Amino acid sequence: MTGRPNDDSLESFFRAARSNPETPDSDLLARVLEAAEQEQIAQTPGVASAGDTQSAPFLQRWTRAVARLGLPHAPLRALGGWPVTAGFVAAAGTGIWIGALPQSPVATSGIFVVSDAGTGFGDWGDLTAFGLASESSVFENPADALTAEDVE
Amino acid sequence: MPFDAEADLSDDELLERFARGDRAAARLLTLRLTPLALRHAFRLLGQRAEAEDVAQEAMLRLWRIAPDWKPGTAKVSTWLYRVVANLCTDRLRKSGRVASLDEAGEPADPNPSVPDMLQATARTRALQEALVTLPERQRQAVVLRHIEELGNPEIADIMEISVEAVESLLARGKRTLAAVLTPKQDELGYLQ
Repeated sequence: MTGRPNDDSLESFFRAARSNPETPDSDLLARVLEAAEQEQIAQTPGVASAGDTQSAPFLQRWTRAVARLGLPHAPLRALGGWPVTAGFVAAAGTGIWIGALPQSPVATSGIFVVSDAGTGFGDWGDLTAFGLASESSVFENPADALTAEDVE
Repeated sequence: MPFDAEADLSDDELLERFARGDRAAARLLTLRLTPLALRHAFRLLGQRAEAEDVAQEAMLRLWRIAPDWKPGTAKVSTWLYRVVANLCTDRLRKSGRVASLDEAGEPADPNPSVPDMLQATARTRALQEALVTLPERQRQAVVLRHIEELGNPEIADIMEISVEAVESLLARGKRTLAAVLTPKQDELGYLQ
């Protein structure tokens, strides 16, 4: 056949293209579906992801807040998803709280219980050296200290 | 609702369910519309990796618009075709390039018969090469009409132009395609 292709001849090309469509692979479908689920969590209160636990409501709110702020999800995923990240954040927060908490004189009372209240003041220097008690709290009102009789 | 029970629902209804947090609707819409987005993006860009990026971005925009979707005002597929085309146009303009056949991957879905497969593959590649030489609007109109097989009114809706303008784009696009493909008829085993 020779000559300029008309509509019919072009149709054979179109037909070939229709019979050979690009199709999404499983990886692309998984990425699209993952984005769908992230959006559902961000948009819909009460929608839980597959790995949610009983603590999910707070985490969902947090995830939604992240999504609203437009923060990237990639760093979160790189850390192992929100459950792992939430555990990490909780542990870090606890560590900071313990470190920042003012020292308590609880150890002081304990020492008095097991010591002789009448003669024990000479030992406070050792305790304060290790930060277990402050001299001011010990000597200002030693009458408040527990004695062996109090315990009995 | 069970997955099977939602298979017959329209895109509109599924999108509404998606916005209410229905996971089955998310899966069905993903399976139903991602192929459309990828197919159209590939025909406009001629490059598989970029087409995947565009398809993923278009689907993400669909998820984000779901809560504000007004059922019955437009077809979801029409909206998606439009978004894909806009994303493709942005990419082509930013890169300042015209997609070439060298960048195109092998067409998928080979036919059982080897000669038929080779001929269909050759024709598909030749058409893709010719398509990417068309101006963007002509290319979009030709792809929507002759590969996606949409009607002119829907194409006009997608491209936000009149039906007459669509017909004009189609006529010019097909004239250019014919000119590009004529020299290749013999080598492609063209049969009338």
